[in-house]
Amino acid sequence: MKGHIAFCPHFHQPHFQLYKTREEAYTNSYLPWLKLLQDAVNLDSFYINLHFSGPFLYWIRDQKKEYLDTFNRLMASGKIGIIGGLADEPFIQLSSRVDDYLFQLKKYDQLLQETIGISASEWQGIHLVERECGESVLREVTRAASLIQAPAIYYLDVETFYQEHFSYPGSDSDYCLKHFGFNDPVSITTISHIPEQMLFFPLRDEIGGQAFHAMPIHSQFRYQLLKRQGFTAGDNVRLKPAHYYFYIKDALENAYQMVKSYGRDIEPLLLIFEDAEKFGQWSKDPEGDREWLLEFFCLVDNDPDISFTGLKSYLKSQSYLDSYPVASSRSYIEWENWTAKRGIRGVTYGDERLRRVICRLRDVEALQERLEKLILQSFRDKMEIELPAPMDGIVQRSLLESAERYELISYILQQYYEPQFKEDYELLNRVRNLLYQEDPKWASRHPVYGSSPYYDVQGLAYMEMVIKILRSRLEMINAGDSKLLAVRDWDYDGKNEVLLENEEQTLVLDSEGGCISYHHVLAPSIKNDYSAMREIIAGDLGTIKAYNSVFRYSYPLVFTETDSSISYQFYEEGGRRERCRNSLRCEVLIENNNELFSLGDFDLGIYTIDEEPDNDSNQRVKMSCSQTIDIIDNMPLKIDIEKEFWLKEGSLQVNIKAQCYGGEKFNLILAPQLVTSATPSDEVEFKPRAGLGLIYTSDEERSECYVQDLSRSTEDGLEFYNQKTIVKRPEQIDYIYQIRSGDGNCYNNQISLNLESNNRLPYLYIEPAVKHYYKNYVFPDQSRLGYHSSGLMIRPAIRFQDGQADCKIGISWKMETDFNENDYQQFIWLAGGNNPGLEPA
Amino acid sequence: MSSKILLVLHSHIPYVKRQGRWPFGEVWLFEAIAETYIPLLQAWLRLKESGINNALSFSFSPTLLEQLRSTYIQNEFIAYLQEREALALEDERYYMSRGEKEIAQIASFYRRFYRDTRRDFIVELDKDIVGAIKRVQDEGQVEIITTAATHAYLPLLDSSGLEYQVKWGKRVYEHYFDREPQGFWLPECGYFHGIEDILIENGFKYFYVDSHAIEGGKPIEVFSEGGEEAEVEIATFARTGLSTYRPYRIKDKDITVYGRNSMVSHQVWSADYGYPGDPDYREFHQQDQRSGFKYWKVTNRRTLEGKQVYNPEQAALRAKQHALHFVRSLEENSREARKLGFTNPSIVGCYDTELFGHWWWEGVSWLEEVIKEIDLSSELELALPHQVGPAKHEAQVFESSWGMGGKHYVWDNNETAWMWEIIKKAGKEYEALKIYADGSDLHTLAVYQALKELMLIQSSDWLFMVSNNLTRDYAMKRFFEHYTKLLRLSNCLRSNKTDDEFAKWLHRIQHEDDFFNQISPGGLI
Repeated sequence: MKGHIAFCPHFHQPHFQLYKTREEAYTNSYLPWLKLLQDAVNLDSFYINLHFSGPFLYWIRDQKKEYLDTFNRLMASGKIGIIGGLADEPFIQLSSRVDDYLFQLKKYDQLLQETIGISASEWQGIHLVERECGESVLREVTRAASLIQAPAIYYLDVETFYQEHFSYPGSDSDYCLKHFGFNDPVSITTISHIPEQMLFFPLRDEIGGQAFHAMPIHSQFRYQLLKRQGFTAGDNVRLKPAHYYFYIKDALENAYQMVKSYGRDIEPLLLIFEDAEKFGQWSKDPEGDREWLLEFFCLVDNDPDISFTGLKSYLKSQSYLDSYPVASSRSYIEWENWTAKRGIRGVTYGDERLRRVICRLRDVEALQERLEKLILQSFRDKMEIELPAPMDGIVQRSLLESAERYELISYILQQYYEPQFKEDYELLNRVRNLLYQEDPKWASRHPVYGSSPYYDVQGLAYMEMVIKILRSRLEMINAGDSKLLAVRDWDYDGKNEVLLENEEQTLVLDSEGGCISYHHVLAPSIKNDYSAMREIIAGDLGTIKAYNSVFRYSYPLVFTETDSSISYQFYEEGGRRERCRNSLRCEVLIENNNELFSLGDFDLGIYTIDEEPDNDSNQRVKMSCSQTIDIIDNMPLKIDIEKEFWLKEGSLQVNIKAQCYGGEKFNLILAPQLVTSATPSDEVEFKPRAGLGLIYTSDEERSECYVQDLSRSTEDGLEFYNQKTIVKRPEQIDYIYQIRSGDGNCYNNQISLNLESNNRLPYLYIEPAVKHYYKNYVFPDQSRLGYHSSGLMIRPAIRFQDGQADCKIGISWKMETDFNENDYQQFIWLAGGNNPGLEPA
Repeated sequence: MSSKILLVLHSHIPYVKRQGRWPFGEVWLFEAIAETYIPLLQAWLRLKESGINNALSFSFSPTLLEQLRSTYIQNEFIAYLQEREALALEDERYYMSRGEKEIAQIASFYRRFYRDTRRDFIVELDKDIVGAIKRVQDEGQVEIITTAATHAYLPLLDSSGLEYQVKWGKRVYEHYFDREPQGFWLPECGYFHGIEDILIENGFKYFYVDSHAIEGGKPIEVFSEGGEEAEVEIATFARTGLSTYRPYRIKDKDITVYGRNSMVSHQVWSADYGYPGDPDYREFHQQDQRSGFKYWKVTNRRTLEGKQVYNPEQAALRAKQHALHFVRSLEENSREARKLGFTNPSIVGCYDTELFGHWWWEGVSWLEEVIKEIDLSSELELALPHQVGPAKHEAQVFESSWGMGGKHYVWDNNETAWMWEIIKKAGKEYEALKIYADGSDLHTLAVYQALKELMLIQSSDWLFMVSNNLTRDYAMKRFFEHYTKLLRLSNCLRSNKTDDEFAKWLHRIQHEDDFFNQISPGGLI
C-alpha cells in the first residue's frame, strides 16, 4: 500500500489582534515553525502546505519583515506549497454582495504575490474560513477562483460528507429508518454512498455548475497531532509521534483495502489540518513540540510507502475518487456543522450583538448600492447608451449581480471621476469587507477582553467614518438625503427600531425595552471633516496596519454583550434567547423589608413609539409603556413610563418619567440602567485601567452606593470583590477608560453622565454591564465578564414621590482627554489603579 | 517504620500455540495479552513516569515466555486484535441501528481499546513483551521469578519429572532475562517436604506458599461457595503460632519462604464479598452472542439473569473506591501486626496476573490505584523480596497448595486419578526411550521432542480443567495428543523405525509443539 499525507497548518491572527497576543504567538509558535521548517526541508520526501490567513500576512508584512525574508529563502527548497484563501479571513457568505468573493480572493492574491511571490495559479488549494462550506461559498468561491486561475481545491471537515445518519445508522437523525423503516446495520440509506473508511480520497463535486474538488479532514488527526499533554484534568491521553503515525498508516491501509472493493486502484490521502498555533503557543513548549513534529516528519520520510504531498500535486498524480454521490444540492450543512457542535454562538442573526454588526453592514451595503446605481446610470448617460426599458433594468441587475461588480465600478470611477472618488469607493469596500472577518463571530475567544467584540468595535469605528464619507459622496452627486432617519425594523427581529443620526452620532432605539441598542459617536475634532476621516482610514487600512489609535476619533458607546441574567429560557431543560444588556432599560422596583423586587417587565417589555423624529434638526423620539400589575389581590397598580431621547449636538439627552396610579402605599423606585459597553484596553500588558469620577450636588442627601465586581490582579488572575459605602448625591459621573494600543499610544476617553431628578435617590448601584454571557454555554472563566470586558452599568434608584418619579440624563463624551483624579470629589478605580474602590463621602 | 507490601503476580497460560484458536486455544493467550499483560505494563510505566514506587514481583511461566516470544504468536495476536476491532465496529453499527446506544458506545470503546492495544503492541513494545519486562527488571523496580517449565503440579510428580520442570524453568528464564532467577513460584503454591532441596540445588533463594502452610489452621476458602461441599477434601493444619508477617528460613536449609496474607487474598478472591463481584463491574460470564463482547455488568453476583448494561464510568469510580478500601485494610492489617509485636511486618499478596484485566476487567485500574495509594501512605511501602531483609526465623512448612481444600484435591481427585497414572507411565516411557537413541541427529531430535511432550503432559492445566469440568474435552484431547505423540516417539525409537515417514511426522509435531527450541537438545537431556 502506498499512501500520502497532506500536512496543512493554518496560520492566523485576526485583524485588530492584541499586541501581546500576537507577540506571544510569534515567539512561541511562528518563529519555532521557521526553525522546524529549516530542518524539515532537508528531509528527502518532506512537503508541507501552508495557509497564511490574510490578517496574519498583513500583520507580518507590517511588523515582521525579517520573518518573510527567512521564510522566502525556505520557499526556494521547493518543499513548501501555499494554500490560497480570502484576504480578511471572513465569513463572506454573510455579505449581501456576490462580488465580495472575488474581491477577497483578488486581495489575497495581491498580498501573497507581494509578500511571498506566489500567484493564484500556483496555489495548492484554497482555504475556506473555518471550513464552513455552505453551498453559496463553494459555488461562489469556485466561480471567483476560475477568474483568477486559482485551483478550486478545498479541504473540508469529513462530517460535511458523512452526515450523522450515515455514520450512525439507527440514530435519531436516521431519516431513512424513521420514514421507511429500512433497517440495514451497515448501510442504512437508500442512497448509494461511500463508506466512512473510504473518505481518504479527494471527491469531485459541483454546485450550480461550478465544479471543484474537496479533500476530507478527519478531526481525530487534528486532535491527536501534538497530543503531548491532556487538555483537561481528566485527560490522560498522550501520544508519541509513532502512535500518531500508527493511526495514520492504519487509516490509509483501511482506505486502500476499501477502495479496491470500490473498483479503483488509487492511493489514499490523509489530510492533516490544524491551527499552526497548536505548535508552541497552545502548549507553551515550542521545543518539545518541534521535536515531536520533526520525529513525525522523519517517520514519514523513512517509510518508503508513505509520502508527503501537496493538494494540487496529489490530484495531478492520483486524480479523485469519484463525484460525491449524494445529491450535492443538499450535501453540505450550512454553517453549523462545525461551530454549533462546539457551543459557539450563532454567527449571523443568532446573536443580538453580532446582529447589530450585520445590520449596520446592510445599511452600508444599501448606501453603496445606491451609489453604484447612480454611477452606472451616469456611465450610460456619458456613453450615450440608450436601452429600451426592459433591457435597461436587465442590464443594471446583471451588472449588480456580477462577481466583478466592484471591478466594474472602480473602473468607471477611475475613468470618469476625480481620483479621490475612486479612493473613497475602494476604502468603503475595504472597510466593509473587513467587518466580515470571522473572529468576532465567536463567543469564546479572548483571554482578557472576555469575548471578541473588541475586534468588531474597531471595525465599526472605521465603518462609521466611512458611512459619513459615503454620504458626502452621495450628496456631491445630488443623490438627495441619504440619512437613514427612520422608524423601521432595523435589526429584522419583527419589531420596530428608530434610527437617529447626526454628524457625530448614530443611535438605534429598540422598542423592546425602550432602550438604546446601538450608539456610536465620533470625536468633535473630526466632525464633518471628511479629509481627516479619509486620512485616518487610509493611513490605517490602506495597507492594513497592524495597530491603530482609531478610538481617539470614533467609538461605540453602546454595543453591549448579551447578558445571561436577562435571557429568556424556553424550556426548563434549556434552549434560551440571549438578550443584550442595552442602555436605558428601566425597571420599577418595590421596596419591602429592605429588599427590592421588580414590578412588571418595564426593562424588557414593548414600548410604543409615540413621537417619531421628523427632520434632522429635531431628532427627538418619545416612547412609552403602560402596565397594570396586581401586587395584592384586587389592588391593580397602573404604571406608565415615558422616555424621551433627544439627539443633540455633542450629547444625547434622555428624559424618563414614571407615573403610578394607586401605589401610594408602596415604596416604589424607578431604576434606569445607564449602560455603556466602553471598556479600557491595554493591548501591551493586559492591565486595563478605568474609573469613575463623581461630582456631587450641593444637596446634603446621602445615598447608599454599592459597587460590585471591583477587580485587582493577583497571582491567580483577577480577583473580584464588592464594596458598599455612603455617598453624597452625584450630579455628574465621569467614566474614564484608558486605551493603550499596540502602536505605542496611550490615552483616555471619557463618558459623562449628568443626572437630574426631582426625587430622592436612596441607592446607587455600580456594576459591570454584563457579568455573565452565554453562561453554561462557554467555559466558565470565559463566560465571566467584568468592567474590563463588558463595560459599565450605573443604576440610580429614584424613589417615587406622590406617585411620580423622573430623571434627566445627559450623556456626552470626550476622546483623548486629560483627567485628574483630584478634579473629582470622589474617584473610584473600577479596574487597575492602586486602590480600587472608593472612600466614604 | 512502614510495613513492607510484597505484591506477587503469577503469570501463566498453558501451551496453546498452534493448538486450536477459538473457542479454546490461542484465544486464551491473546485475551491475556490484550486484557492483562499490555494494560498492566502500560499502567506500570505510567506509575514509573509519575515517580511512584511501583515495586512488583512477577513470575512468568516458561510456556508463557516461549509463546510471547514466538513470531507466529506475535503476528497472530495482531490479526486477533484486528478481528476484534472489526467485530466491535460491526457491533457498534448493529446496536446503533437497533437504537441501543449504550451498548453501541461500549462497542465503540472496545473498538478503540483493540486499536490502541495493537498500537502499543507494535509501537511501544515492538511486539516483544518479554523484552519489555526484561528492561523493566533490569531497571530494578521489578523482580521476575520463574516457575515449573510447563506449570506442572510438583508435589505429585516423580523425581525425574520434578528435575526437568525445575531445571527447564530455570534455563528458560536465564535465556530470556540474562541472569539467574532468585525466586521460584511453586505452581498452585504446591509445596511438599523436599522440594526445597531441588530448589536449593538449582540456586533458588526463596519461594511462596499459602498462609495455612505457615500459620496452619483453616485454608483460605478461595472458592467460598462450594468450599464446604461434601466431596471436597478439606485438609486440616495444626496451628503453628507462626505468622505470614515475616519470611522464614526452611528449617536447616538455606532458602526463604514467604507466606501469603489471608486478608489480602480474601478481599480480592472471595466469591461472597471479593471486589470483582461488585454489581458495577463488568460481568465476565455473559457475552454478546454475535461477537462475544461483554456488554453487561455483574448486577447480581448470585445469578446470570437480569444483567444490566455496563457503565464504564461507574465501574471506574468503583475501582477507585475499592482501591482506597483495600489500602485502608492493609493499613489496618499493618497496625494489627505491630500490636502483635512485628515491628517491621511484611504483607504478601499473591495473585494470578490474569485476574487483573482478563477476569476482572477493572482489575488493572484497581491495582494502579492501589499502588498510587500505597505510595501516599505513611504506613505502607511496596517492596521486593530482597528489600525485606534476610529471614531470621526458621519454620517447618506444611505440604499444601492454594487450591480448594488447601492441599492437592483440585489436581488429584476421582476425576483425575487416571491422568496421574498416565503421567507416571509417560515419565517412565521417556526414561526408557532414551536408551534406544543411537546418537544420530534424528534420534536426538526425537528424544528432545519426547521430553517436550512429556512436560506438556505434566502441565497442571489439564488436571485443573478436567477436575473443574471446564473445557474438559479440550484438556483431555490435549492430554491424549501429547501422550500419543510420546508413545509413537518411544515405539519408533524402540523398534528403530525412524524412516523418512517418521522424519516427516517428527518434523510436523516439532512444528506443532515447538517450544524450548533455543537451547541445544544435547545440553539438556
